[in-house]
Amino acid sequence: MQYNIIMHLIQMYFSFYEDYGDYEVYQGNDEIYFFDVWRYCGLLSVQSILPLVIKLLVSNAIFGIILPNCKSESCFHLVSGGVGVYLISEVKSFEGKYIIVIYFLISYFVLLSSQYVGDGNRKRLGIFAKLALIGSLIFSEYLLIDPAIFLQIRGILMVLIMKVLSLVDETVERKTSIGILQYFGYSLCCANILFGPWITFREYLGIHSTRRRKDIFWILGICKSLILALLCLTVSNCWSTYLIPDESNRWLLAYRDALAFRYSHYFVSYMAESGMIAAGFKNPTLKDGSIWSYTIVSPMEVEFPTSLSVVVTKWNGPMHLFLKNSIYQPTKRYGQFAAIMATFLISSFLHGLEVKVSVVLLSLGLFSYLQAKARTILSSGFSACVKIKSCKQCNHKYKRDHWAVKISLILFSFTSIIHLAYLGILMDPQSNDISIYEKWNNLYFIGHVIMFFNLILII
Amino acid sequence: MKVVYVVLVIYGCTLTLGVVPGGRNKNRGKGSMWWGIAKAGEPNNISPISPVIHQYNLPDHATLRKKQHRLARENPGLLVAINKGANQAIHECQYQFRNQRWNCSTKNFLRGKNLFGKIVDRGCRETAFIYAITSAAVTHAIARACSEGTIDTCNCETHYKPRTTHHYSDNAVAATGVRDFKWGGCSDNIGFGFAVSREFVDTGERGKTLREKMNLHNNEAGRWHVQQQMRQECKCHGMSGSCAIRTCWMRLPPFRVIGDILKDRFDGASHVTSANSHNRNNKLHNRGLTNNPKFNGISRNSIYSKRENRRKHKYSFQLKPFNPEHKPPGVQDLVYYEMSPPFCERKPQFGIQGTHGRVCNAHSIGVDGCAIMCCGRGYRTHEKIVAERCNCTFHWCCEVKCEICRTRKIINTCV
Repeated sequence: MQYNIIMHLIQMYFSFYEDYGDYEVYQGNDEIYFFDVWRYCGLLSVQSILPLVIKLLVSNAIFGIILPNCKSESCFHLVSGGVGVYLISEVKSFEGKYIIVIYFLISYFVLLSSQYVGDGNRKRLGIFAKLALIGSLIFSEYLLIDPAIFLQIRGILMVLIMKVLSLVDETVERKTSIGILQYFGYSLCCANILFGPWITFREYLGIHSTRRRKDIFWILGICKSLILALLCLTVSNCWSTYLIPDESNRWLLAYRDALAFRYSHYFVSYMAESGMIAAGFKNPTLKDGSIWSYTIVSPMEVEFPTSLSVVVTKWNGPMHLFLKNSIYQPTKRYGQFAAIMATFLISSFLHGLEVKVSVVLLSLGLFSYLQAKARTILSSGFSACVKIKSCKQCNHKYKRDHWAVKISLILFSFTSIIHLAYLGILMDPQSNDISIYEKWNNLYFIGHVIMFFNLILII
Repeated sequence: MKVVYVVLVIYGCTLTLGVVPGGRNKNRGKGSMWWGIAKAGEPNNISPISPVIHQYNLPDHATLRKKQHRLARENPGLLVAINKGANQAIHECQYQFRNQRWNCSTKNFLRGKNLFGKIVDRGCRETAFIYAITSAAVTHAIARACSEGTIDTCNCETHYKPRTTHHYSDNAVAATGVRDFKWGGCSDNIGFGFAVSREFVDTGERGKTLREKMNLHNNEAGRWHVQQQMRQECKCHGMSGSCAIRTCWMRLPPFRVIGDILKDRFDGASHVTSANSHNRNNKLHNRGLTNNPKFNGISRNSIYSKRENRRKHKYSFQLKPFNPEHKPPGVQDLVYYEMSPPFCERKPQFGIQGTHGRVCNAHSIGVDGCAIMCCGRGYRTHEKIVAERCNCTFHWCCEVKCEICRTRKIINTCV
């Protein structure tokens, strides 16, 4: 089947040649264009990030190699934090570095003070500390520094604050105190200071206690995620525009812009993964086999989502874990909807309360909640297995292999893709000057229309 | 009275035939001589030359001006790029106009100015397109050659610093914007292409007469579109839309994209007029093909611009629309001031080939259809046996093997 299509295309190609024999040279442009895109876009993109990538990987690999030779724990913390400081010095703006240092110090005083508060007030202080940290993040974004500079350090600050927030839980609720060296090593850990991901304190201590041997598979693991990262980078920068040119219709263009944003995220996540592997981190769920990997994002599940909530959970695994543990679980007693919205609200606070990010996150929360709810209702109404998670021991009449169930699953999958494109266009950095309303209006508010249908289903 | 009229017409005809060849150079501006570079390297009927263009040993038949020679000498590899660009322009022009009455035919004449035939003598749309596409192609080719490394002087060159002579009110920012960028050292290829194209292509146009202004404007429009399409793009990557890493690359669309854009601009070109000879021009347009370019108020216009500082204000003119209610042309528009001749009949003295013998499409009602293409003269239908590649098979990897089939094709040609 596919072979036939290829043959057909080839024949079309040649018949095209025949029609305008005189212009043969210029009809061959497509191929030239492909190499042009590779040379001027792909190579240049890779070139422009290579210095930072090499710095990140080499310094992390050095950390990973030094690590087994560090007998004492303080040596481990010092090296981890020290290399982290070196990486932070890569931040271009002076103000940016300044802000990071200030955050580092303030957070430590918050942690320290929580140890001297009586037992009864600890919980209250913990919440207060969290709110203060998040508030100060927004304060510094809007009042203290230039938004452009803040944008550069936002990722770093986010990871730092998430680490501190989880440390607050650790010290306040579990009554364990934390030393300055431990704090220094954990919060500025070189493996995840630049691109994340957030890790738990326990996980951080884990690489010191396990001391995994670095072998050829370690190098292979680094290379694999590095290559994937660079691939995703070129998709985001070049191939998306090459495959879907500017003249395409609005839906394809929206899909393309969202795709470019998603691949940019995969790039960052794979970069983070290679950094984590270089430093000696491994998937917590992975048994100590020979494979080195640290899953942050699952592109296949995001590109072809079965539902929006899958996207949310697979988008950034560690961050999802963090939000789930520290926000979703504690707020669950106020109801599922409230918990979900609170989670996405806090998440948008962590992202610095930037308008478009907040809109995207809150809509994502709303859309995914409504989708999940609609599917649950459909599932019980028609006794069909269309819930988000495939039920193993359900007594639904129609199982997953029934054709109607399959069709509705594909339909939900398709609406998820539309939702992704609908929300993703807001994140496209190249069209920041176009307002959210205008962008959505251009797509006839399709996301909200779908949401409306889901809402009708629920009611 | 009738006799006087007949005499006048005869006089007018002889004047046209006699004067046009002499007045040509004056009318078209002197910037078109370099087009001959396109044919450099091809055997010429007078002086066959070696197919290799040496660094700056340029064959005489593409008469370059002194300044162009100097540019070529200072930038080894430049001429090769310009040659490539000129050929690209011809091919693109012929592709864009393959279905139109005027099909952008070229001749291998001795001198470059005749490359596109005498149509260039008229300030019509077609001429506007020729100027725009040649200047665009040169900009494109130079920028490309820079990034390929075949012109060494692009990088870190100081004497092509962006000049802010670009006074088009609304697009001044856009035109200089690209050249303000610096990345990866100092490889500012598009800026270089733009600057050199200005120096090289515009060198003969002083911008004094209406025709020269038209040429300058169209050259500039061609370059502007290239600059709009070939630009440096940057993008941030980081957690959830933050900007931890900034990546930059170059957007380099195929020249076809620029050809398409310029063709669009050709279809919507602005009819302009010289600032103070509105009425005269008005009359001239009604006279159609036989009007004498010498009369159309160009010399008059030049008086007013003589005082201008040539270097500084070369590009700082504003053309007036022919219809005062229309918007004045912007930097992106192509401009013309004479109506196009009909192109139907062969008129060698105006460089028009006519559409006799052109292939047309019997089933089309567009410009490529026989009704329009043949100007109502009708068409001949004949069968032709065409050899085509067919039954192609794809062998992994990566070879395509085809058979050659002979099929009959019906071909229509204009009478």
